[in-house]
Amino acid sequence: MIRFILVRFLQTVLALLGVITLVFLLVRLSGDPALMMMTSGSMEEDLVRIRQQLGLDKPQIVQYGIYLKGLVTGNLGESFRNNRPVAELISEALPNSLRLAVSSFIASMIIALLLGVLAATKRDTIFDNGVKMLAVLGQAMPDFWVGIMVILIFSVHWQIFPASGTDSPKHYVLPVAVLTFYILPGIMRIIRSSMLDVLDSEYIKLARIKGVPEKLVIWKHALRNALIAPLTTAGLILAGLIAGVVVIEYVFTMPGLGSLSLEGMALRDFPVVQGVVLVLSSAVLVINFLVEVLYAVIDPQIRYQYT
Amino acid sequence: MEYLRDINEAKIEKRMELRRKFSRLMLIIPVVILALLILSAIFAPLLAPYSPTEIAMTERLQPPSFLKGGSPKHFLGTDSLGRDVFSRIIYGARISLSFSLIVIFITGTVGTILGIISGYFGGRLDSFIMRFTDVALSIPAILIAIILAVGLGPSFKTIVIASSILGWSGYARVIRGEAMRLREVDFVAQARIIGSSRMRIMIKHIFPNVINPLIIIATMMVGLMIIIEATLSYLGAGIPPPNPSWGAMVNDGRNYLETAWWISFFPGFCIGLVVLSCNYLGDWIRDKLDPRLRRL
Repeated sequence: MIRFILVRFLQTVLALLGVITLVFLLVRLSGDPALMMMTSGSMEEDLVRIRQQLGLDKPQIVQYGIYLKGLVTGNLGESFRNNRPVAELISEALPNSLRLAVSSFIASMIIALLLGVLAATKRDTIFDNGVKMLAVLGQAMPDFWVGIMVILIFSVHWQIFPASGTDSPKHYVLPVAVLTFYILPGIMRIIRSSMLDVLDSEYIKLARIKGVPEKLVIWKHALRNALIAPLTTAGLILAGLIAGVVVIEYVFTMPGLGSLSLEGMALRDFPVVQGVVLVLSSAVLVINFLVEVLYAVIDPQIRYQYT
Repeated sequence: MEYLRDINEAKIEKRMELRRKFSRLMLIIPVVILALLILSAIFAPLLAPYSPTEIAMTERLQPPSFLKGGSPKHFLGTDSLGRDVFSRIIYGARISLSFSLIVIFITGTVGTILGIISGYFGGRLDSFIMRFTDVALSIPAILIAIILAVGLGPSFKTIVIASSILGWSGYARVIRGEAMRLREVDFVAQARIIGSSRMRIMIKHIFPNVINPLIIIATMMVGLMIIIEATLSYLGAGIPPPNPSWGAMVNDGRNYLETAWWISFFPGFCIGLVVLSCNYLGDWIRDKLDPRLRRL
């Protein structure tokens, strides 16, 4: 078990380093950041000065070292626009993104569990087909468009919920609903199909033969085992959640990491975008690592591969 | 009791038959929608009544022709710059389609090569490539696109690169599984015995046998790619204005929801319709070619 955790931990660190390097390379690939800071009145001397300030006059490998050193000490640079530390901007934006992501995740988990399990137990009925239809629609309709249509109906037409802002819980209803609808199909499908597998297994038959009440068989014996499958695709679910948060924040003009990075993109504020992307992708890797450890705790087959 | 079961089975058989007929009939709709998409992409200049980018301020914010106050000149109305929404949607098909085809070609090629190598060689190389794949699968393409868009500026090229950098991972994982299975199959073992090189085995024996799963993933990716292009263009990381990308058009209408909802509605509706058709056809092709892959 310890060996498994250690191996995975090292791999995660390596992957983290890979992502950091990728971001570094993508930045250099796209040209001279100093040129992007130039305004029409800037002189050649300004360019040289900015390059010196940013350390761009040093060799690439030295720049890479400086960049890594900054990351280790938690220094993500300063915003081009208002000269505030990027780390500070991110910590201001983080809570709202977290609220959005966590509440949508919990909501979609609950709905996915209910619908997924019921669909599996009522296989090939109208209910099952309805759930399938919901999943198909959720996967086909772009989330930003669903968001706009929801605004059109509930904010413009009926004026029940506000279309933007974060002032009250009411402001979160529409964004959370749309984000939930967006990540729901993936989770629901996995739960349904793993539930179908489990219901077919010997120990479920045994439980039934023993006379365990059907409700208990489904919601305790079967569901417990069916829950392992979504864990294996946690990475995909998380990626979808993060992409969804970025889009939904933009649709509903909410502050958060998504809005921060998109504003940064529009203004070509390099350090801000770089910072947000690094924080989000590290979060993905760290959470994936934790999920894998959890998975190994639950499923002995996984950890025995490493002993 | 026996005959009762027979009747029951006959009933079920009949119902299955009906269902099969129904799903075959249902196939026509997505086929027609996708045919329309391809035709409008190819013949956009002939089909579109107006230029997709020409600004006509006198015609701005006109409702669709079938609504009250709509002019018959503009079937789906006009946007805030007086451009014809219908014409822009037709031209937008070009961007959606060419983007998905290009990205699918790039990611499919890279993913297949990595998948075959990983599955055939196995061992440390395999675990290395697969860890790499896991990481790539879990990083959202949006993040890469945003960081590229800062440097390169939003463009077609930017989102093609952004979607390709990590997009190969889905192919690699499935193809790897197939290659692993094929490595143990008799005809590959025989090829090894008669002394075929590894390269030759991978190209001549493994590759032809992973074409089916490759086609399946590729068709299932079309819808996803169309959504990715639309999303990135909507966020401003993709196709820059005034080019008519469906996603960017939805964004154009953002500030006019109260007065001119059609600017955002129709392009998004088209995305949904096309993606729905792609996914439906993708599922059908998968069931025809290789039902084992239903889990994808």
